[in-house]
Amino acid sequence: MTAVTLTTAQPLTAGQRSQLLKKLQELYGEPELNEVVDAQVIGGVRLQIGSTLYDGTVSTKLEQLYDLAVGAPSS
Amino acid sequence: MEIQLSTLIFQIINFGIVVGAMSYLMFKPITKILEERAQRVAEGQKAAEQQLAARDKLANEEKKILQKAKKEAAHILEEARQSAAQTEKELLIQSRRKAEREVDRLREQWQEERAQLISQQRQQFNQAVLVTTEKVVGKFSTKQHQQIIDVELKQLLKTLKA
Repeated sequence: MTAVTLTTAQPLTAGQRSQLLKKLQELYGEPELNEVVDAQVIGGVRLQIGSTLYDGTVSTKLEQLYDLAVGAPSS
Repeated sequence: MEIQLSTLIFQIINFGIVVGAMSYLMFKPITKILEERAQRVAEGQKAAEQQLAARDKLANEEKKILQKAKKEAAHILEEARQSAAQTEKELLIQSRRKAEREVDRLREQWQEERAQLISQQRQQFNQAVLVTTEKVVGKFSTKQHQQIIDVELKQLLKTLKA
């Protein structure tokens, strides 16, 4: 069973959840989805599947904006 | 002057007696004394020669001992020099390694501090942008959150691979 962690600033709607689960089932069979609500991400989603991270959060975009502004390498 | 035969013979005999008496009483002891003296001189000379030979022998032995001692001293000195050079080399290597470790440690420390600083600055930047945005447009509404999640989720589902 593949462990999947989804982090958002607000809980998903039922439609969004089923959309995500459908895709995950296609790819991973029976994934174990763990939903985390964290205001720190400000908005958007962050999805961790095993050791792979997909980050579409507002906080990360702001950090990337900061890196662009100051020319610093992103972590 | 007339030479009388009897007087001449008497003088000759008289002279003979005197020479004989002197020879026995003086010449022999004197000769003996001289011979003894010569023998003592010879013995003394022999003893002196023996002492000279012994002195030369001692001098040679002393010379040999000194040479041996010098050779050993030179050998010890060379060993000590090599040992000191080796120790110096090892100390230098140790010092260099220590310095390299210290440089590595400081570099790691600097990198950690730099990363922390950048992270702090990012957070401050994020906060500043958020505060500014909230002042301008207000906080995200629930609808807006859902819209953002929709957009990101669509993008994410496109990129998901097994």
